[in-house]
Amino acid sequence: MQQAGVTTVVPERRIHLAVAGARDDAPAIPAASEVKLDIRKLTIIYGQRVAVRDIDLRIPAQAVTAIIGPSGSGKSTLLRALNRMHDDVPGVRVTGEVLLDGQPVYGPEVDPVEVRRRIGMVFQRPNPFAKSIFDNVAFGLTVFGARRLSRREVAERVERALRQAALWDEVKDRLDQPATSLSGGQQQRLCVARALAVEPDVVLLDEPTSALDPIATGRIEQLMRELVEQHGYTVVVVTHNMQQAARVSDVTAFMTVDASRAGTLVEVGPTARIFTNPQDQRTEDYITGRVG
Amino acid sequence: MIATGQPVSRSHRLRRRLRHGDVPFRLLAATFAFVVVALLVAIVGVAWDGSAAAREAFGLRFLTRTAWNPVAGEFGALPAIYGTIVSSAIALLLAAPPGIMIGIFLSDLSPARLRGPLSLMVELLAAIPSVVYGMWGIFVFIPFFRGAIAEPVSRALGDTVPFLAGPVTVGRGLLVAGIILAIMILPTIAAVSRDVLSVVPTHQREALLALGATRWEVIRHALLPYARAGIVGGMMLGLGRALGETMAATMVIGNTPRIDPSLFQPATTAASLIASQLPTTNTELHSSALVYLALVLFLITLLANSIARLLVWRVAGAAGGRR
Ligand SMILES: Nc1ncnc2c1ncn2[C@@H]1O[C@H](COP(=O)(O)OP(=O)(O)O)[C@@H](O)[C@H]1O
Ligand SMILES: [Mg+2]
Repeated sequence: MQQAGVTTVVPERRIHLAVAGARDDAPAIPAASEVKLDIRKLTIIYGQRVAVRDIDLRIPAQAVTAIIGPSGSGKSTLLRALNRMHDDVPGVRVTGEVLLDGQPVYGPEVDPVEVRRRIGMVFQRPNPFAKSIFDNVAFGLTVFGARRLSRREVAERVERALRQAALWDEVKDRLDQPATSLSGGQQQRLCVARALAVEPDVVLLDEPTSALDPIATGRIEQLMRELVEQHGYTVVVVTHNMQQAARVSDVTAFMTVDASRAGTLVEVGPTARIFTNPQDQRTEDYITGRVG
Repeated sequence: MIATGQPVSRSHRLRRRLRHGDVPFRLLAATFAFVVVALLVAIVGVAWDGSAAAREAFGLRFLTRTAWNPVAGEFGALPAIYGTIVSSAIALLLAAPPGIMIGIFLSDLSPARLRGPLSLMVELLAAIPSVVYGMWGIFVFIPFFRGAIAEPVSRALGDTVPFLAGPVTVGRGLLVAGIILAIMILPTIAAVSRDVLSVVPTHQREALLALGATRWEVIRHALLPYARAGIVGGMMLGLGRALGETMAATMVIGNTPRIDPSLFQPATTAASLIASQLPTTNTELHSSALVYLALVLFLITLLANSIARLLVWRVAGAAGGRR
């Protein structure tokens, strides 16, 4: 039954994307050639339990894509599949395909470590290391960088990452202080900087503001826009905050739980369209607050 | 918490606490805690009393005297102290690296299917009575060790390296005891390492994984630093067990109160000397010297534990503080 739901939604969605690209009032939706991550028939199973089923989703390059949906709908599960964070977790099976710039992420030849260096991730709770601010950002470069960088190169990259994460001005005079001396919002931006320092293409954020106050949340939201508009990253953000999705994203994907309690993708499209003119009743119910 | 309707709610709270057993439970728990202190005092008191004759005869020189001759009434603790410390140090040196590696494997690398059975086996290893280890040492390990290692090694290197000097006669000795003790403390170190590694918060592992760290790098940079204090604690637990281990040591060390530089030669530990001689003492001085030795052993283990605590505190403090 939910199968039917998904299969009818998928072609529809593709049409929305194509149509949306032609609309001039909508945010610029890239053509198919600018798809950064192409997710095909992705199913993720924890032990016996299907957490998400048959996800088909294209993440446009250099845009913010928001994944929204009620808690438990598999948003985090889907996000973590994109950079193979499920790999070392016992009992998790991932089937289907994820293509990064057309290259399979789950190919037999592909090193998950390489994937994760190209697709960075920021988590729900800020999780800096028990080290100095500088060392946190430099960690991915100095400790297990692919090639050895000179001290100057490291310092330059740390500064660039901190600037891109909109944190430089606040910490430039105290780089050797422990990361734990920062506020929660600053710590979260530090985690963004840490992810940016290894120079990924894609940044995944899993409810990055759910542990933050409104002001810090605003900064992170602004940062997500800057990452895309000024620095050309592709950003995918999971949030259960619809206003946040509406504020920051170009494209919104709505997930929910189907009758068998598996997460499914209901609808995806330009954010403005999803919030003003959803095609699926379930999306409408969710964004108008009738459920979830 | 804020002062609203205090008088009523306070007495109400007291009644609630009494009825729900809060206060009685606190009292009971406190009593048992004091019983532990009392036991400790009693044991030290008895040892102090029992060792009076020897303390009078030898004083603190007991610690540095090397003679142990019950017939002549000569008693010195140094050979026992030496044997205790060296055999335990060998055990810790041999058991720590594999023990930590087993812990890492069980917590992080083992396939989920193997984890349960392997953990159980490690725990079973800890459950084997020490007399069984001793027997295995006598019947299996010592014959093998003497023929395959001790004799050829001492023949080849014994003349130049005093640690390895022959002739290997009985086969029992310090090194054998150290090896058997290592096997005995291995499960302790492995189990504690596994436990402290598996409580390292997921967010620390994930932070590293997401940065493109390999499995080894995650272990090296997220797990080991986080768990270091606990691992040191596990090692010290093992050391404590080795220092006080009596039965297995008695059976394989040779029970010779003598300091010989060669690890192949028979020696003794404090615990094994006490266990082997206490039942057959003829003079009061002899038994008093053995009790004195017990007191010394107690001090050694106390010292080892204090050093362990200090290490753990320092490591934990460093991890929690700056950098
Ligand atoms: N490690 C796990 N093991 C088993 N089930 C899990 C695990 N992580 C998540 N789940 C289950 O998968 C479903 C989706 O979870 P999740 O992806 O965290 O949802 P969301 O992020 O949308 O709240 C939930 O039912 C959750 O209980
Ligand atoms: Mg989630």
